[in-house]
Amino acid sequence: MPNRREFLHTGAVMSALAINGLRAPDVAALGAAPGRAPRVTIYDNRYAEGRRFAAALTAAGTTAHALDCGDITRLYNERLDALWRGEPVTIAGLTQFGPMLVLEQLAGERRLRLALRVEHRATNDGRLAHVITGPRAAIESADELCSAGVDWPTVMAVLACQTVADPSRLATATLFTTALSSTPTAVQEVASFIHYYTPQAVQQGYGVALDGPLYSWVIAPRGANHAATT
Amino acid sequence: MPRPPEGVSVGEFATALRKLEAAVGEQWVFKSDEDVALYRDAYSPERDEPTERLASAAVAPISVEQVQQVVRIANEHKIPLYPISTGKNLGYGGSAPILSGSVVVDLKRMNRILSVDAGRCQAVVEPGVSYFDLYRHIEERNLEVWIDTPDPGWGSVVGNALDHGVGYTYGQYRDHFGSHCGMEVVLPNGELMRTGMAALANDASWADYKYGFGPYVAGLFGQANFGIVTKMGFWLLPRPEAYRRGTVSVPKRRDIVKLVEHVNYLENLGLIGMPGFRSPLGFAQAREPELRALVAKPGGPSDEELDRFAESKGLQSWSVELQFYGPEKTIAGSWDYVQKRIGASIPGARFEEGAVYRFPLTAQQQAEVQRVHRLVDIGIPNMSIFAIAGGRTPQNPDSADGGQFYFAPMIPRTGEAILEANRVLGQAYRDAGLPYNQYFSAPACWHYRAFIMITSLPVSRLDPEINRRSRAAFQAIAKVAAEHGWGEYRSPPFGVDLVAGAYSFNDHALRRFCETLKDAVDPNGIIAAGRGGIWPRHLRGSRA
Repeated sequence: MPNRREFLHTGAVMSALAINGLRAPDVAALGAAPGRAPRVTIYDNRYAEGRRFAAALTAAGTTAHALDCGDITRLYNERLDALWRGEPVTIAGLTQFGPMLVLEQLAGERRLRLALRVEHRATNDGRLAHVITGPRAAIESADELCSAGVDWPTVMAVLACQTVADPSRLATATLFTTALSSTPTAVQEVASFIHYYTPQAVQQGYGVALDGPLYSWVIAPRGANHAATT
Repeated sequence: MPRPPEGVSVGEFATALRKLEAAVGEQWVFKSDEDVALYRDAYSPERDEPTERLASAAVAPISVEQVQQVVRIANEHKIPLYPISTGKNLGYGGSAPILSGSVVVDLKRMNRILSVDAGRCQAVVEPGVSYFDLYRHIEERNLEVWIDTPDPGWGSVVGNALDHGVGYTYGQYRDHFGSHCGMEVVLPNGELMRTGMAALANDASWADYKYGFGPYVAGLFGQANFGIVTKMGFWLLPRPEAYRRGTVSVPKRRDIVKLVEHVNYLENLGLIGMPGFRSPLGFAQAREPELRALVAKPGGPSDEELDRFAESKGLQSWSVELQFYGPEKTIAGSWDYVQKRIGASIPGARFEEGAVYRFPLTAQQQAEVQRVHRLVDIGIPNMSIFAIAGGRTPQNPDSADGGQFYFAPMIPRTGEAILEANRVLGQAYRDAGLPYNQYFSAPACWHYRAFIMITSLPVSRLDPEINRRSRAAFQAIAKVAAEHGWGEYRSPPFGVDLVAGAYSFNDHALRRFCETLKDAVDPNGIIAAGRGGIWPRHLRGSRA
């Protein structure tokens, strides 16, 4: 198996494991810390990027769960709630904004915090901007891997295996890459009822905005106690 | 050591925090930056600006007695408190105080479901009980009652009611404060009080009868700051035998007037739950360039032009989803009645059958219904709305990345009011430089005797300019709304003074009355300064 340096030259590290029909990149060879893979990975399986992220982290030893059409409810109630009542374990995700926000809020009550947040946003020139808020080391690692041509969901998977919650060393930076693939747009049937969360564009028939930004994130244990609901 | 509230010395604050630790346990007083940051408003449109509302510390009592001790300590040291139940009302402040420097009183640990009586269709709960908790409690015991849940359902039953939050089933239940019955409150002096029948020394009917004897004071504790509510009773729905949904649509723009009259009649009689209005014509804008051009033309389209376009495309101008709950034959009869009544009144009305369920659902139905139905309509809490909130598109450039807050004016429950609100608010949004689904916005019907023309304004964690623009738009549009007699039913923290100020009859007699009460029951002004637009005497000069 090629090591991290060899990969950066050849771009050829793939493990034999696969998820959703994808061959999974070997994130360990790309710099993922041994034994630091998040316990659980959550992904939006409507996106190729989400599936690739999950494949990489599954190969690294995590358990991956797909959202229900972007909805976190069942996954939280049936798995994460019980998991976090037991112990504050690290999770990572590649989702839309909403599930990340929900988990950030609920994690705070369980002695965890958002340790890494990356917004992946299309730019007007056809590239993707990755706005990274996290440890400086993660930003440097992302920069190196992206510059070497590693696809960005795999880069995010590597970061998920490196990140710990350390609010004293957070920084923000923006990297640019090309898009991995064209993401689906407006593929979901819009509910006939207009909710106050429903974006106005959706009310005008533009469909559920699946072409909006995605977010990669890591939620990790924090030090101090907090008002848990257990 | 956290920064003390304004007007409180470092030494005084440190002393107060030590006493709080002695009262609730050291581990339940939160002082570190990292801990206190958890009480930031996740959807704050003032994020990272000097005006962002931030707590100085937080305390998490587990019992009524501890809440009383917290209040007494705060009084002794003039420490401002800000009670939250679970702090999940995103868009309306979340966990953050209105007055920066307040100590948040986090009631999440007070999470006991004290009783659920299925026979009497009622429950009594503490503030830390979420809709998920209460739903699970009922389901695990197979009790034949439903809750009415807001969307999302992760918040507190008590907190949502106290914020005048709302749900989705029958009117009397979806008004969550209106469906409460009896409460327990720690007053600003630390004394414990109960309202309604719960005020009896040995009450037997806490959640049966609201009023008890004498004045009904429970209303003083919703959207206000006269005490910390520690228990509330609620009325629950009996589990219906069946549910049915049907959609009525009408062809012409002005048919909305008659349609609303019919729907009001049905709801006032108790035949339907929450109606859901929308405009199928407005929904066609994405695929119909001709319609977009009509809407964009100077002066906008006439009703006749929109009607001609709709007819040419076979589209209906408005629709309403109706929900029926009850015995299967009865609600089938109600739907039949709706078709006859509206069909005879509005030419071109169409009727579409919707989902029908019998309860309790089988396990297979439970799984299916989660995929095809709005669960809140059948009393199942969930968080699926967060799946539709995200997504920035060319047509929706500012959504996501930081959430949103809401402009939610109440307007009369008439079709004419919908058309007028679309005209007035459309212009106001345009003037503010923000999009509005003009001509086609439909009201929310949560508070069943009025419409809410709710819209969301974007919030960003990355771009403060988006936040400044949204705040400015809110302020401008709220003023326009007030000029037309439309006041908001809730407000984000930065807007409470503006919103409260619109309720100005007789030189703000309502506000002056509330301030008189505030001075009497909370002379030190320690409870939730600014909530409901009510400030303690020493802070009134700073009101916006």
